[in-house]
Amino acid sequence: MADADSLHDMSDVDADPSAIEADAEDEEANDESVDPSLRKKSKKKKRKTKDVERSSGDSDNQGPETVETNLLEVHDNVSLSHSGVEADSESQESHDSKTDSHSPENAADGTDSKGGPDVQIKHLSQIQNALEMLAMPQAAPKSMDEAKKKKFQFWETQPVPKFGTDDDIKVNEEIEADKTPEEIRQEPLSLPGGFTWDTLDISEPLILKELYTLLNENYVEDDDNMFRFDYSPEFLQWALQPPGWLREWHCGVRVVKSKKLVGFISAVPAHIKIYDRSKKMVEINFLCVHKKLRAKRVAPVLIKEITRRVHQQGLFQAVYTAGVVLPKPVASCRYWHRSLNPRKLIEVKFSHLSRNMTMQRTLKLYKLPDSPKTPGFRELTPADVPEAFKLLSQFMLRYKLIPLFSEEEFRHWFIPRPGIINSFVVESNGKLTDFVSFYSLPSTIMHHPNHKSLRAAYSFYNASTKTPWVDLMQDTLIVAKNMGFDVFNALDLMDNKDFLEKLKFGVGDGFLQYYLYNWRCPHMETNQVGLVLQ
Amino acid sequence: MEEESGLEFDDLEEVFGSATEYVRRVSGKLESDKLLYFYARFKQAKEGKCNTAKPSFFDFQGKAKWDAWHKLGDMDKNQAMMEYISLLTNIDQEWRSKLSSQLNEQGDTDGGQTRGQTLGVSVSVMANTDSELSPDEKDIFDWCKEGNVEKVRELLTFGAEAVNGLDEEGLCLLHWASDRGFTNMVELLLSLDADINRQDMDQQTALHYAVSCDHADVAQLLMNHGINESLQDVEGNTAMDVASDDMKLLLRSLIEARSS
Repeated sequence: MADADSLHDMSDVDADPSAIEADAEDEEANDESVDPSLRKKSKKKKRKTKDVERSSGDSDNQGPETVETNLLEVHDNVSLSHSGVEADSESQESHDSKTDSHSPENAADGTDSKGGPDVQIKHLSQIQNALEMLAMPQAAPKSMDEAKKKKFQFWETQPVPKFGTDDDIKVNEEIEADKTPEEIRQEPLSLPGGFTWDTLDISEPLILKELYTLLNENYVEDDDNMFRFDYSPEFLQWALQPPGWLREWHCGVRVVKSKKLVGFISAVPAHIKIYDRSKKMVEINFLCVHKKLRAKRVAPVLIKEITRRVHQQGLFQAVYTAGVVLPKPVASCRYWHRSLNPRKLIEVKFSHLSRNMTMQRTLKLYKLPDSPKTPGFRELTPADVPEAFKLLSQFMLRYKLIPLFSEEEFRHWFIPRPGIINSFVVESNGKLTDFVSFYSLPSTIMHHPNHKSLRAAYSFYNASTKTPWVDLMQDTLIVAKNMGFDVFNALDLMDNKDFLEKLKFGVGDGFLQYYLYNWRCPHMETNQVGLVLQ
Repeated sequence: MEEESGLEFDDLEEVFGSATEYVRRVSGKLESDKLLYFYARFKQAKEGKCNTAKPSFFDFQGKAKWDAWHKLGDMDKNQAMMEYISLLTNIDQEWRSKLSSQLNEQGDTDGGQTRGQTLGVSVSVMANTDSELSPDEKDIFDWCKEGNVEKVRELLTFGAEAVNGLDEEGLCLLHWASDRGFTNMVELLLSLDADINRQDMDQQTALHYAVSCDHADVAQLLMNHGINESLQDVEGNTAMDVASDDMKLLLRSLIEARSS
C-alpha cells in the first residue's frame, strides 16, 4: 500500500500487486439500469463542482503526469482518511492553491498542528474536511489558462515545450539531439510487480479481440460518461497496421497471473511536415489503461516505454493529440457536429432541443437532399489512387502541419473499407478535381434503454480544387446520412471553418490539442493544421 | 451480525475495501473517536502490528493515531477488517447499498480522469447553449417540455394554469408534449380535459406534430382519443400530408380501423 511519503516518487509504480490483481479481475460495475434522465441530472450537478474547481485554477490534471493526484484520489484513498497529517502535509507542497481556494482555514492546518486538546479535535475534523476536498474528482485542465498554472510532474521531465518560457517560439527544430544507440536504454521499463509487458500480435484474431475489449470498456469517454469510443477490431487493424508498422510498437501490459490485458499504447510511422521541415516520426495513439488501474502510474510508464521503443528504431519525434491541455499544444482544435439523425441524437442526449425549438422544426432544419448534387461525385476506386494521391498531396501543401503520404500509404488510408473508411472524388471531364474522406467510429451509448450505439462519421482528409467546400461537404453529409450515420463530426482545422456553420454544424464541447514530442515551433492557428489522427 | 457471519473469507477484503471507500466518503461527518477506531483497524489490516516510533508528545494528532493503532497489539488482520466493517455497519446499516448507488451515480469513473488518461482523440458532444433555468424560473411549458408529468399534473390540478393556453410560440401544452413524444404527458393532458383538436398558430394539431416527428405511440394515442385527422394547417396540409413514410402507413391503418 502506498503511503503519503511515496507519492512523489515518479520512478515507477508502487502498488500492492495482490490488490491490483483483485482489482483487475473485478467486473466493472454496470449501471445501465439507471434512468438516463436522472443520470444526466446528477452529472450536471457534478459538473458544476468541477467548473468551480477549474475556475479556481487548481485543476489537477488527470493525465499521465498527474498520477500523483490520482493516487491521492483512488489508490491511496483509504489511507487518506486515516493518515491525515502525513497526507495533509504532503498536500501542502503540491496542492496549496487548491486548499487555499477552497477553504482558507484548511490551508492553515499544516502550520497549526500543535495546540491544546480542543484544538486537536477541531484539527482532526478540519483535516478530514481538507482531505475530502482533496479527494473530490479533479478535472483535467481544458484551457490554457488552467494549464499554465498547473505543475506537470511527468511532462516537465520530457523534451516538450513548456508553458511560459516557450510561449513565443521563433525556431522550428528539435528540442534535444538524437540519441546515440548507447544512450538508449536496452531493457524495458520496469512495471510494478504482478504486471508484465506483452507485445501484441494484432494479426491474431484472439489478441485483436482482447485489445478491442480493453479499449471498448476503458477508452475515452465524454465529460458526462455517456459515450465511449467503440473502435471495431477491423478499424484497429487499419489504424495500427499502415505501411511500415512494427509489432514492437503495439505495446501491451498484462497481469502476470491472469494474463488479462490491462494497458496499451501504440505508435505508427509517419512522415510529418512541420512548416518548412519534414521529419520521419511516429504518431502515438490509443494509450489506454484499465479503469481499475488508473491510479497505479501505469500511463507514464507506457509513454516512456513506447518512447524507448521508438528511439530504438532511430526516431526521436512524435505527434499525438489529447482532449486535455498538456505542455504544450502546437495547435488547439475544437470538434463540430452535424446532426444527421437529430431525433436519435436528442434521445440519447448527444444534443439538446433548445427550449423554444420544436422537434418538428429541428427535423426540418437538418433535412438533407436524397442524393449528392455535384455531377461526378462518386466513390474512390483503386484505379483512382495515382491521380487522387497527387491531388491530395498537392492540396495539403497549403497547411503547416501535414502528413507526407507515400502512394502506398494513400492506398492504405483511403481505399474504401466498409464500416471503416469512405472516400469520394468528384470527376469532371475525366479529371479528378475534388476529394473527401471520412472514417467511421461508433461510440457505445452507455446508459440508454433502446439505443446502444451512436454511429459517427469523422471528417478525415479533403481537397477541393473546383467544387466549392459547401457543396462538396454537403454531398459528403448526404452520402454519410444515406449510409446510416447519426452524426458527422469535423474539427475546425484545415479549411473546415469555410463550411461548418453554413452546413449547420454545431460546436462541440470537446477540444483536441495537437502535440509534438521533442520539437519546438511557432504556435499554429487551426486552419494551418492539416493532420487528422484516428 | 448477520451480514458479517455470511461473509465468505474471500469476500472479506472486498467488503473491507468498499467499507474503507465508504468511510472515506463520509469521514467528514464522523466523530474523531470513530475515525481513530477506523484508522487503527485500517493500519492493522494493511500493515499489521504497529511498528513505527511513538510520535512526540506535542504531536497530538499523530500520537492519538499511534496510540489507537498500538493498542491493537497482535490483532489478526482479518479480525481488524471484521471490526472495521462491524463499526461501520453499526453506524450505518445501509452503507453498502448507499455506496453502490453513489458509485452508480458517479458512473464508472470520474469523467475528467477518463478523458485525461489518454493520448488519442477525444469524445465530444454537442455543446449545450441553453442557459439552465432554476426550478423557480420554470413555467408549466418548461415542465411540459422536460416531460415532468408530476409537476404538470400539480400545476394543472392545484394551480391556476389553463390546460389549453398557448405560449409565446403559439403552441399549447398538448402540441409540445406531442412534439417531444411524451406519451405519458399526452395522456395526462387528455385526462385533464385538454382540447384534442386545438390548433396552434400555424393551425397544426397535436397529430401534425406527432406524425411529422415519428412518434408512433403518441399518434396512436391521439387517434384512439378521436382526434380529427382531417384538420389542415396554414399551408393546407393534413397530418397525413406532413407524416413521414412510416407514419403514413400507421396513420392509414388507424384511420381504417376507426371507420370500420
